[in-house]
Amino acid sequence: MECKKIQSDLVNYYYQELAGSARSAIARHLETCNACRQTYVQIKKALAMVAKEQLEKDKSSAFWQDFQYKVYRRLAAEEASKSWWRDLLVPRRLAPVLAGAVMLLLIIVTSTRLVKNGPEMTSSDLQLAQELELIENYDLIQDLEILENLPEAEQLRG
Amino acid sequence: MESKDLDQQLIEKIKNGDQAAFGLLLEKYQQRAYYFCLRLVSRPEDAEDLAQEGFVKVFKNISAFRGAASFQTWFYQILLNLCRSYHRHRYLVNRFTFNFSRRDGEDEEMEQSLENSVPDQSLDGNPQRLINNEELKLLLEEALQTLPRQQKEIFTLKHFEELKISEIAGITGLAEGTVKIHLFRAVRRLQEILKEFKEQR
Ligand SMILES: [Zn+2]
Repeated sequence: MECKKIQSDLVNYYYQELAGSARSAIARHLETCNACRQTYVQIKKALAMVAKEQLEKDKSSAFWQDFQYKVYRRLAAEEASKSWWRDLLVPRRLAPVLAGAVMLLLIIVTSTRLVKNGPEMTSSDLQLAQELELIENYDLIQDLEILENLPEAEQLRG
Repeated sequence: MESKDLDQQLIEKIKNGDQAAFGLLLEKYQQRAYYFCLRLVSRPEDAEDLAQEGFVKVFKNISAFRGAASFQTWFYQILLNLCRSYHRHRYLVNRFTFNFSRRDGEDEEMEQSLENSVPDQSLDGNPQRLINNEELKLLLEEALQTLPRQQKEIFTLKHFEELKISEIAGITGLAEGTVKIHLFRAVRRLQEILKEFKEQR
């Protein structure tokens, strides 16, 4: 077998991912090929250095008890949030919660209406304003006409 | 009894509301969950948080677990997803707070300490000095953290969790050939770091 192919499989060989003929072919090749054997020794050395025991077993049983306690506490918190929804379905508790919800809804609706309508005018307000504007404009036009006609009239008189 | 069958039994019991069964599952997998997360996220308090969240997800979604894959595969998937979203979140936090604070850039600190550790050790200038295995192990642990995400995940699942390539493919959703390529590259990178370290001496 070609050395290049062998070398690309050495990591899998190390981790015992090869079986049967693929495994024995590499084993045989390593016995005869110095270059591939060297490569394999390097891989083995490097991976042996990446120690598995470095982290493991450095925690006390108190740590794990605390760990479990925290998991249960999280689960209890999840359950509590779920039971809040369940409580909504219980009639005895439904009344005050519903009353509160209705109040809240009313406040929200009223306040949004106030905010929405604040700067605007109702239709009757608008009509009144338009009418006032018309009257004002009408007066202005009449005044202007009078002023314009005034000198003319005086000239005519004069 | 096979570990896999035992898991399946425990899960059936948990589905039926047996809390003691959940306690047994927790005890069985807590160490693996914690150390797996620790290798992927580095910070102990965050690893603890993620591992605990993993168990909460197991309990909450237990009815969705049909046993098509092993519990172990399913559990690693949950943990991997949690670690990935943790990194995504931290990446975004780092990205947006970068101009304001560099304190959050712990990966950088780690990389710097890795860079610094090499010349520092060569300063004593003694070529006869034996390689300090503890130093080297620490260096390789740190080097692991500098691997690209997928290489790091796959190397962790293979080397530390001692899972089969086929199982890693199941967990990561990658083809076995792709898993092998990532594993190969991760090992090669570790070898390079080892070589650089030796040449520095
Ligand atoms: Zn060869």
